[in-house]
Amino acid sequence: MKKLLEITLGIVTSIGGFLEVGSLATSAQAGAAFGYQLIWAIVLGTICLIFLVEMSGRLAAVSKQPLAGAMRDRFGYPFFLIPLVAMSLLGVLVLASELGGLSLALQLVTGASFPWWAPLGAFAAWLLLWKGTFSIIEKGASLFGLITLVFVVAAFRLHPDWTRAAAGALPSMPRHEPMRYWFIAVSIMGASIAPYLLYFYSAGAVEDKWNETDVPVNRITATFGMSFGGALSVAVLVVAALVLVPRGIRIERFDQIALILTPIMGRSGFFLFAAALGIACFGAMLEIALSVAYLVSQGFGWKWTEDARPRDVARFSLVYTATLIGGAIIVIVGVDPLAITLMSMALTSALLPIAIVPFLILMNDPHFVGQHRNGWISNTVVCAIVGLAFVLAVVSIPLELMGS
Amino acid sequence: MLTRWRVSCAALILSLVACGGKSVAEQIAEHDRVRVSWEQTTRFVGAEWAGLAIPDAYAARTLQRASEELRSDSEALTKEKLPSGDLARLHAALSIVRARADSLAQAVRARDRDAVIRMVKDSPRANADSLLRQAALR
Repeated sequence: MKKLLEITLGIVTSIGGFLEVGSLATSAQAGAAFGYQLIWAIVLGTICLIFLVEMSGRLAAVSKQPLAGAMRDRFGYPFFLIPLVAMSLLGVLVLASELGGLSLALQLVTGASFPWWAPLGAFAAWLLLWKGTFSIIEKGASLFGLITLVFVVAAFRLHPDWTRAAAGALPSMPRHEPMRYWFIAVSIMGASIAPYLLYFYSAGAVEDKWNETDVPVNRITATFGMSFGGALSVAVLVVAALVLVPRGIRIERFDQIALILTPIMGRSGFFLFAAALGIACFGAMLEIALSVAYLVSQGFGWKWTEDARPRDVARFSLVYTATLIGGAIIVIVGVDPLAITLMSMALTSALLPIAIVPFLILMNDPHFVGQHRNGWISNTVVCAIVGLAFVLAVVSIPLELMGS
Repeated sequence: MLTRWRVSCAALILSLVACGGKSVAEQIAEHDRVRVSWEQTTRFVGAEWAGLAIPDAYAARTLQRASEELRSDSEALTKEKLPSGDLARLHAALSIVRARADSLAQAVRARDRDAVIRMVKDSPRANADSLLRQAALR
């Protein structure tokens, strides 16, 4: 009974915590520009994420070590510095895009310009990290995040042609604007396969004191939680396609996305969108700031836990504080939130091999995972999808930059 | 070895640049897409505001944003090497849509619902059927 409750809570929190500004913006943009044609990118990204999340939980449960700490032990400091620096910088960039999303949500509701909200949003996140515990942050944000289910309700109310939508799950060549098509595909995959999530998940498993008996629970939670989460992204794409395509509206700025629920739900749709965006981004901000703190602290062997008083884990607290300040500065400067979101998601795809290849080596090392080593299916699927995302990113990022 | 690597990098960059260049038809199509997208955004915002589905501040800000985007597209157009006839047509179309966005923004700020409803009715509507078919949604 206890395990069943754990699984249910795990799945519910995975669903609530799945959507963030990256998946929301990329899915909406894909739907508005290409109809259902890019559903395959969400499907591939979600499949890869299921495997990776399951792997990071398994690593923590069996080795009792979080991902970053295990990586440092296996490869040594000099090599570990590469993913450490790359993922920390990327973390600040992705956090900026989440803070931009939160600030935009507040702008939608209040009318006050979004850069003004950035310091307040960053401070609120910092306060929660400073005062809160891991459980409050993980479960609280995710449970509130269930508001994002509004996109599933909206998708069903639009009565889409599910056969055509299912056809979009198969990769296809673009019918127009090939550069934009591949760039959005890469951004969708970057938004789905977020490395920060893996550091957060494995550190969380250690904080929750998982052991080998938790391996099956972890597998079920990762599979169903991420699958339902992926379905949320598909719902956003479907809603954007059915609301914006017939009107000839492509998403150039965030302001346009805010309209996707109003034809279905009226004024409450507008405020539900703002609430979903704000809560999803706030939850993601907390996870990213903590992930960077976990990565750096575990990498350098400092004391780390969200459950201790900040003065007892001073360097850990300093890292999440600095990460939030870095993200806030980028938003306050006034960089376009949609541009920073798309670019940070595409960069995530390009940097995936730096985070994932060492992780795969770890997952095949019996010293760390004993008999729970990866099978050939996990290795093949993750290698193939990460390889595809990397190649597409390397080709499409320069093309998109030249095109814009 | 290093030379060969440099040559490969140069070849890759050159091929990317070659692929990245847009033809005249593609450039025109891109400007048309941007114009139509913002034109329809202003129409959508006007209709939703008139139907009380969105707040005043959001409507006014988005209409102003549409005007700014159309102006920046018009500026970008002057830097491109397009046939003079196409250039004139695109400029004229952009300025009409921009003027409509400005008028709508003014009416929203003045809370003149009748004027907004009239302007929405007068603005061209996208051909939903053809767009849905194009995107294989129907």
